[in-house]
Amino acid sequence: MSLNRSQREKFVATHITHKYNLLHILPGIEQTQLAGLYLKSFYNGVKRNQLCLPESITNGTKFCEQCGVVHIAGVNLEMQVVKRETKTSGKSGRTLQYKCTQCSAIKEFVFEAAEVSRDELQKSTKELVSEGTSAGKIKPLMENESKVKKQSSAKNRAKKRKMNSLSNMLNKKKEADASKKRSLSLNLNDFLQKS
Amino acid sequence: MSSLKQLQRKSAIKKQVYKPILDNPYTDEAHNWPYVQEQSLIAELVRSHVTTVLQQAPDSLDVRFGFNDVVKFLQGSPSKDDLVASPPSRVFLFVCNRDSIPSVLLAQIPILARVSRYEVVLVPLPRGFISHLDECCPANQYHDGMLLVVENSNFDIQFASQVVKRVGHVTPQPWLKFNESRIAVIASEVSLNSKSAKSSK
Repeated sequence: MSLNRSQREKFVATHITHKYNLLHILPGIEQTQLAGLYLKSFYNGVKRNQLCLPESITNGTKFCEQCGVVHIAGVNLEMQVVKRETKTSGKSGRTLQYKCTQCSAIKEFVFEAAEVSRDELQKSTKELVSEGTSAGKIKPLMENESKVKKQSSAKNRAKKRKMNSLSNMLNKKKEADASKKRSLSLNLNDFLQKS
Repeated sequence: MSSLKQLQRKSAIKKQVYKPILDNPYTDEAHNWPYVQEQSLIAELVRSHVTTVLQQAPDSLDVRFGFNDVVKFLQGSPSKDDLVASPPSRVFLFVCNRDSIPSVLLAQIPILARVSRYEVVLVPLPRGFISHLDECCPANQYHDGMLLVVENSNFDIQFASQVVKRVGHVTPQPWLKFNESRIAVIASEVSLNSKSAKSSK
C-alpha cells in the first residue's frame, strides 16, 4: 500500500478508534463473551502501529485484565477501598479493589505509595527547577525513572567501570606520556637541549 | 550530562502518548468531567454553602464522605418507598479532581455519575480546594477529595440552581445508554448449516 504520511495517520486513527469503540459497544448489547478477543485485537493494533496509549487505558482501570470487558462502575464493576497491610513496609496502606462482576476477577491498586512517590517526584522536579542542575538533585529523580531508563544507566555505568579499570588507566598514562614526548620533540628548546 | 539527556528523552516519550483515541466522539473521554464556568465563584459558593456549614453543624446536610460511601450511595438504587414518595432526588457530587487524588480512584467516578439512577450533578472543583474538605471532614474518615450532598429540604435551592446553571451537564455518552441503544442481538432459529437442511429435503 502506498500511502503518504497523513493518509497513513488517518488510517491508523480510524482503525484504532474502530477497535476501541467496538469494545465499548459490547456491554450495551449484553454480549461480553468476546470482549477478551476484541481487547486483544485492539492491543495488537496498537502494538503494530507502535502507539503509546495513555496510562489510564493500560493500567487496568479501563478494561478488565481477565476477561477484557470495559469497566462500568455499578454495572459490571464493584469498587471498594480497603485497608491492607503491605508486605514490604509493614505499614497499613489503603488499596482500591476492583471486582469485575463478569468474571469475578479482583484487581488491586495500591495508591497510597504511588501518591507519595508522585509527590516526591514533583518536589524533586521543583527543586531542580529552582536550584538549577546540581548533580545531587538529579539523582533521586533518576531512581524513580522507568525500567528502560534503568537499563541504559546500567549500561553507562558498565562503560564507566570499563574505562576506570587499572589496565585502561595504565594505557591512558602511557598514551599521555607518548604524546608529551612527541610534542616535546617538536619544540625548539627541546631540540636545542638535545643537541 | 547524561541525566539531562535522560530527562529530555523522558519528556519526549511522554509527548508521544496517543491522544486521538480519547477524543473520538463515541466514547468522548476527553470530556468526562463537565466544564465549569466561573470556577472561582462556584468554589466560593461551595465553600460558603457546604463546607463551612458542615464545619459548624455536621448534621445539617445529608452528606457522604469518601470513596466507599459515595460509590455505595451512587450504585445503590433509591429504595422503593422513596420512589413512591418522590422522584429520585438530585445529588451534588463535589470532586477535587485537580488535587493530588490518585487517578485510579477518580477514573470511574464520571462513568458512575452517568450510570447512577440518581440525577448526579458532577462538580469538579479547582485546585487547592481539598484543604476545605479537610476542614469539614470528620476526623476518623477519609474524604478522598469527594463530597456527595443529597438535595433535600435543608438544601439551599438558590445555591443549587446557581451551581446547576454554571456546571455543564455531564454529556450523555452513547455507549452508556443501555436502554436506548438500538443494537440488540435477536435470537434466531435459522439453522447455521443450511446445506444440510437443503439436502434433507
